[in-house]
Amino acid sequence: MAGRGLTLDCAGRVATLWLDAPPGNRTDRAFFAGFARMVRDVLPGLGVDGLVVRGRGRHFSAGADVNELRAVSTPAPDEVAAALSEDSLATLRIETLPYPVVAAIDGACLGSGLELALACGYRIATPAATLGLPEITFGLMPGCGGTVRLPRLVGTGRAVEMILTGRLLSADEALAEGLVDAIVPRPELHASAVRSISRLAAGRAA
Amino acid sequence: MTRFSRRGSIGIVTLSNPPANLMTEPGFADAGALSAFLETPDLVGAVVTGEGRHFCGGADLARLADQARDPRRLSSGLEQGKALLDLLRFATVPIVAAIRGQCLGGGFEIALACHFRVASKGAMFGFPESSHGLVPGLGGTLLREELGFRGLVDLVLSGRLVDAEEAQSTGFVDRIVDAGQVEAAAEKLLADLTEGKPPGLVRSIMESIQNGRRLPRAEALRRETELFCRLAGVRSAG
Repeated sequence: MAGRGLTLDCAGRVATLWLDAPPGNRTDRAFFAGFARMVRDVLPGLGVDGLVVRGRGRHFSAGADVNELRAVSTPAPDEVAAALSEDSLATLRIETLPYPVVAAIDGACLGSGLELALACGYRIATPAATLGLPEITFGLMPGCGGTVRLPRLVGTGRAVEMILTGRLLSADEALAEGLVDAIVPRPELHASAVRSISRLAAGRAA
Repeated sequence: MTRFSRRGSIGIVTLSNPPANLMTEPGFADAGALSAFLETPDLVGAVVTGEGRHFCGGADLARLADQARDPRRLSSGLEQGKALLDLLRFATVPIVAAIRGQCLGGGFEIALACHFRVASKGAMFGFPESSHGLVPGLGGTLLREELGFRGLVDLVLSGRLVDAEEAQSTGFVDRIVDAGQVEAAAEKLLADLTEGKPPGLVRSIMESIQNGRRLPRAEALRRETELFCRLAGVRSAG
């Protein structure tokens, strides 16, 4: 099953949602439209033990398309606002899926890419992961749950600092701040995410 | 006992009842004045500091004993104090406590309501209330996010004092500097966060973070999208 820049792989007990527009797996408008539909119509009915969300290639997601962000006031404004609300609602639906969702993070995990990862229940990263909310460098703020979810994970002060400065965190820093739950070597990333879901599923069955 | 002043785009809130800036009333400032000060449109941040050698040694116990003779008055005073701390805690500009010397009891609660803490090497933190047969009266027992559950139980029950180094390793002090430098370091921390950013942008981000702390998640997310659209120059759909 696929939307633009998005592929759902349902082989096995654990499904994988690929952010699938390498190299940056950018979360442009077309991506989010497909993503919001999939979260609303497809994911709730999957009879799986859990879902891994990850990026195709070297990166999780580098976030929104910057040119699109700059041009955000050009198209019909009400439409854009409505679409952005729908994106944000989609992250809320990720949180209420009836199975655990794990973000498997390699490379860049920035802006709305990190906001997607924040909506997941767990975050596992490779040592090469870089995480942050750089929206401020474009004179903007996170618009898809970043300001709401980040403080709950890292505390208010650290969240204020990350969002006001746009500072990016290495995987080690992200682990120390509680932004990611574990770091594993790149070749083990997927297996480790699947294993964490299987452990949760086993716990639930017991 | 509280003075307000400005240094450029940064507001300074000074607790002033030397030497230890003891709180003569739980309501240590005028709520309307504090609120108006923090809402000043061109403000991008604020520092809370104590006059002289100490931040704040907490309640003036003699006065507290007086106030306790009239439980209704004491209780309304404590409510006023807690409302002041919420003005700091949920402010839409970042707030840094600049701490020298004693930071105890109600003073510690004021410092922990701020978003960041810069301390001098000689600063001492703690909740000595239990040694007086009391509990922290301005919400101190609820500060789990700030102190962690174990840290909270430890400090409130034992009443022991913690120095700046332990405070930093526990995680509730962000920077340690020389006693003469705490205000400058607090202002530097705010400048690092806000320099070059329009006050409106700082306010929008802080407002959204604060919504996330106190509103149901769906509502906080809805308002975040609104704030984002306003910044991006998009008319809101609502």
